[in-house]
Amino acid sequence: MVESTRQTMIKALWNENPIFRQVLGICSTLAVTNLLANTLYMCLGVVFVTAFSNVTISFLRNLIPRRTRMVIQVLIIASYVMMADTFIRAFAPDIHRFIGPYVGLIITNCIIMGRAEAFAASNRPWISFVDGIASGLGYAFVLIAIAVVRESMGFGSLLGYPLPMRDVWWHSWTIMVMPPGAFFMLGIFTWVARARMLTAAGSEK
Amino acid sequence: MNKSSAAYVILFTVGICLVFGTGISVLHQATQDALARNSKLQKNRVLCESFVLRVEGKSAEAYSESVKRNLVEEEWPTGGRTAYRIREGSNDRIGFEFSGQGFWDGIRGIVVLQGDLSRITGLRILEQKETPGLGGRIEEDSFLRQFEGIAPDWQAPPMERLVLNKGASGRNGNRVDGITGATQTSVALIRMLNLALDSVGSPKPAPKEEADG
Repeated sequence: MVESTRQTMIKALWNENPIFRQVLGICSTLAVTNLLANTLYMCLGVVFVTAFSNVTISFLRNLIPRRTRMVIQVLIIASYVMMADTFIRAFAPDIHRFIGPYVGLIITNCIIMGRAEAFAASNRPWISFVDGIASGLGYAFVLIAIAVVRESMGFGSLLGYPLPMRDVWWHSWTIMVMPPGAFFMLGIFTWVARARMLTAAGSEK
Repeated sequence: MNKSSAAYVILFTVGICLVFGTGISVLHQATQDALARNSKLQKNRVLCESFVLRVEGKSAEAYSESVKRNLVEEEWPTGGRTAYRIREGSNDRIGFEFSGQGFWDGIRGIVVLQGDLSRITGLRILEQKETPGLGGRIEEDSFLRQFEGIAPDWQAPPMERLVLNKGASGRNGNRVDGITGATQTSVALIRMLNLALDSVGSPKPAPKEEADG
């Protein structure tokens, strides 16, 4: 059955969200979410790579030799990752110093390979592009939500700007700066999201 | 052509490699200037931080200006090293670039000592690709500040002028703490600092030219 653009968006953003439903891309979720600016650049990189690798693989789906399709897919994904990496290194060097190793690791992000193999390899370019964007955004909105909490609790700031009257009420939660803080936040986020899904499913019955 | 044939597979793969390889090369070439500017800014910023120089603003020009105004570049007589020296009355300090192999990749940094080489006054990292959150913490202030005031033991064997103080609660003299979970990176950093100190040898340089910033 051919999915509509809206169905594809909803599925990738919520019902089959890569983070809290499929539990993919967790390495970078834990690593880059202690500062919102780092998270935003990482998310932009993933959205860009997922969307363009999807659309490229979809365009070539009838030409790619079946036996070597995964090699070709990795090559295409790696090329887009290198482009994103070069772009961030050139125009946001301070961000690149912190997230550089993770930008390279986008190549191994299961979300991208998963969407290429499960969706783009058998669907038309436009809907594959939409699926790529939506999967990237599904990853992004979870990371951004976690980063907002971690940066404000860990550093008392958002995007580097101090929170209002920080000196009066704020006290640093060091654990939010460290990777365990991301584990806790991801667990809480997944719990809340899945609980909402179950509630919605129960009320539909 | 049959898509399963070896000729098709090879031709297709080569074609894809050419197209994407060209795209990456073009982008790389187009960003060369920006990358060079970033590299220069990073070096000037690290020099300013390691020498604790006053900088008017946060622009690339401000850092460059501060380096030009405060630092003199000299060729160090031993080890073929370039040294950066600042002279502020009796507060004579000298800095060297050091580099070496970390756990994953190369590490480069600047170490600043008092003019008589008796104590380290600053240490900053120019470039590293260690594991983020573990070895990558070598560029965090909390780790680097412990080097300030450390006195290399010039009487000790070359690789023991600075010593990693594994697990000890206090530190004194030439001992510094490593990073928990990143022992190999800590050991590598101390090794490259010792090698740099060893190559510095006896200090009797003469000022040659101003740093170009």
